[in-house]
Amino acid sequence: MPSDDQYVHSCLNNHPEAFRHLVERYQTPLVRCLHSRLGDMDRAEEAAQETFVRAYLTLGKLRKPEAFFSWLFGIADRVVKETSRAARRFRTADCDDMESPARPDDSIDRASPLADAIDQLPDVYRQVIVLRFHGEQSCAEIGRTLGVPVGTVTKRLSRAYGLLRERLRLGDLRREGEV
Amino acid sequence: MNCHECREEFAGYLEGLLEPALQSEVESHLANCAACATEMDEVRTLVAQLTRETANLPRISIETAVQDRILHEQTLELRRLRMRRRIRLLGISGAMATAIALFFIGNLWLTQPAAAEKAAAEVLAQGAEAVPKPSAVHIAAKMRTIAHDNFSMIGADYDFVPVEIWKEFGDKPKWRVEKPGRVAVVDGASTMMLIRPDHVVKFPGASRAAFDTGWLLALADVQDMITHELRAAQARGWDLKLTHETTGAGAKKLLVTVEAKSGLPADDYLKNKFFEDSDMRRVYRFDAETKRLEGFDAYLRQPGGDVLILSIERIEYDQLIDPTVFTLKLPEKAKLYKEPERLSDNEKYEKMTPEQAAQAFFDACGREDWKEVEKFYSPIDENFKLGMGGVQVLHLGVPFQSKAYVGIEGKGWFIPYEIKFKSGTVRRFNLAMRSDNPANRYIVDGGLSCEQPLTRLPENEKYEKMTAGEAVRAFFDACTKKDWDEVQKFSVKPLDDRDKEYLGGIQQLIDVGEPFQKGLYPGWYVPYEIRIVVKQEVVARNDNPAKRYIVYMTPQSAPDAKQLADVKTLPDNEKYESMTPKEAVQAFFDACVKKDWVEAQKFVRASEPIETLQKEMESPRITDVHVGEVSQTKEPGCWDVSVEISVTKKFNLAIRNDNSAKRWVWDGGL
Repeated sequence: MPSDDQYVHSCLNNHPEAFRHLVERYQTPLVRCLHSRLGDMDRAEEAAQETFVRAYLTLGKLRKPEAFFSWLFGIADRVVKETSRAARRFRTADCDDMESPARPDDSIDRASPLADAIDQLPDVYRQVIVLRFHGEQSCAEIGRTLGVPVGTVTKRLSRAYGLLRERLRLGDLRREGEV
Repeated sequence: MNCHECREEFAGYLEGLLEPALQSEVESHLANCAACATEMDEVRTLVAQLTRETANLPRISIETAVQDRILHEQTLELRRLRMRRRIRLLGISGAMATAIALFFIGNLWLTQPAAAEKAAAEVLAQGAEAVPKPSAVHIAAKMRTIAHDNFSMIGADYDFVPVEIWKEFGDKPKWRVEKPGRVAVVDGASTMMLIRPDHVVKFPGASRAAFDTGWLLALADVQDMITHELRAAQARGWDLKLTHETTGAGAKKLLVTVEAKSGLPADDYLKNKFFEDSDMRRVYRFDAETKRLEGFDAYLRQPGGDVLILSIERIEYDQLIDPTVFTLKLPEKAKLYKEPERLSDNEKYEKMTPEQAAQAFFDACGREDWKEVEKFYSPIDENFKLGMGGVQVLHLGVPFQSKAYVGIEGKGWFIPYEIKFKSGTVRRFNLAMRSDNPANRYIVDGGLSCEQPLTRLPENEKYEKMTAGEAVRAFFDACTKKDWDEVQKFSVKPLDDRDKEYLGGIQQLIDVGEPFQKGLYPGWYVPYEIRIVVKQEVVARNDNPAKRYIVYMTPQSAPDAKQLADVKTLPDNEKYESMTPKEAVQAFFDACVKKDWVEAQKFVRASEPIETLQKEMESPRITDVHVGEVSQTKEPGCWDVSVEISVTKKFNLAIRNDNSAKRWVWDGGL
């Protein structure tokens, strides 16, 4: 199975149809990731479509094809932020009509603490978590996708678990007011 | 194994992927290290949480949506690029050309095209690129249609009629689409159509397309046409095929075939009756070297085999078009179509169902209540009154709709009818009615098959008894003798000077074949072969650097620099330079008679391919040409030359006798 950078090179060398494989590979994990952040499947799909379209149209600007995943999810992050800003503007307009004073609306970006923690992982760890749980890929499949041995995949997963545990623990402490 | 090493293997351990030896080491460490054991429990909880949060989510499939959005974005970008005039179509760089080619190819990425399909798409893309946005286009084509009917109407059983399109691009586009019975014009300020002889539709403002000319005008905009074709092919899954061809003269051509599907169900009433609603095989012919579109053929898919329905015979880019082409001289007593207005009792008509409206219309015809008829159909003339007066409704069927006729908010219907004319002739067809007008009431939009009114002659019985073949012989005999009283007996409409000029050119009836019937046509087709002399004015111009006469079959304005450069100085130029206009025109036609196309090409623009010239001049077969008077025009170096071209014509005459006098009348095919 070709790796991400092989598909990217193919796209940029007169075979743009190769982009389809990248969509197939990342559509599920991307949409589910976005769902966990946006809390709404329709919005998640919309944001994912926008992410892929932007990726296709600017593929020539990707300097490191092997970093396609990080780059794609980076675009997704920007799309989510833009979506949130747009939603905030809308809600502000609504709130003007309300009698009660407007409150800061922290429910727009309804990411769970876990989703938030995943988003904050370094790309190399975020990628394996997303592919394993959002993409439902086995470790062997992830290895083929990334072009690395299975052992490397499991070690990255282990480190990702450790980092997530740490961030979640930190998050718990903040909520309890101890930090 | 230390704690760090153990925790590195947590994921492998939970996935069951560790080698037995390593698994044992991890288990041993966990049994002896409380901290790692606690950490392992927490990781287990985390993994369970991760699994829980992503379980039961649906499978995602957004490829199609992504594809559609990419297509949309690229189309917008292409338009923006064109508008910024950065492209070689108007001046593009090689890199951008590649990008555009990629755009077209990219459109097919989700359907995993075969290499051949991709190659075909590439040729189409190059074809779109090869034509710089022209200032003007002129297309001469032939199409199987009814001369006076809708511009979009086609039929495998109809004769070919000539169709011409002129389009001038710019801030105020102008265009003209014409076939023998109907012409539509935009002069930059208004939009008009004349249905010959005297029905006129006119409205203010310049339309991009009107009166169902859209697809014909699209032929004149090659870039848009090909772009649209590629997008449709991709979006609707049409097949593309590329083939290579070498002509007799050694020129290489590229043919791209598009298998276009209408998308209408097989039993849809309008399927294959109008260009846009038909299953077609469309063939684009490009010059392999220049990549320019040279020809286009459209074939209607039929169970018995594909039928050529439209063929472009000539495409001219950037020719100066005589400004009068974009004007329309209206007949003196033109009958102007008016949009239905609200009547004082409009509510009564608004409430009518399509069937009730059809019944009311036919009943009014039967009573000869023409004021009432005009509420459903206008304008009406004496022929209509003669044909429809006294009609009797035998039966009206259940109204039905077509997917191709409901775009107007479901306000279009077909009503099956069976009516009996005064003469006793019974006609069955489907009346088209629509209510999408300001008055919101049903009006007749088509499907009206009037009886042709014909006076019974004193000797009518003699003509009634004729077979179809006998009638055709009698008709042509009368033409060769120029016996117009006799010819009139085979014509519904009064013969005018144009008819007499054309029919008067028939010199000899060579042969009449066996009559046959085909399709839904109520009459007969009779094969014939005649020798006919056609009188025509051609133009000869030598206002070019080579100073030799170029022959034009239609009036031409003074050539621009590019057209002048097109006329090369020949090795034996002196011979051609010394010819008079008359000698040049005679030499041109003599070469055509001898089928010496290389010689004939010396009298046309160098860029006109020999194959196009041959196609244009070979049929009907020219047997002789007599060059007559020559007169100089106001433009220096430009001469009008009268010619009489003798041709042998083989075709099928359409005749029918379903009229009040039951006589055979000529109905087309000349």
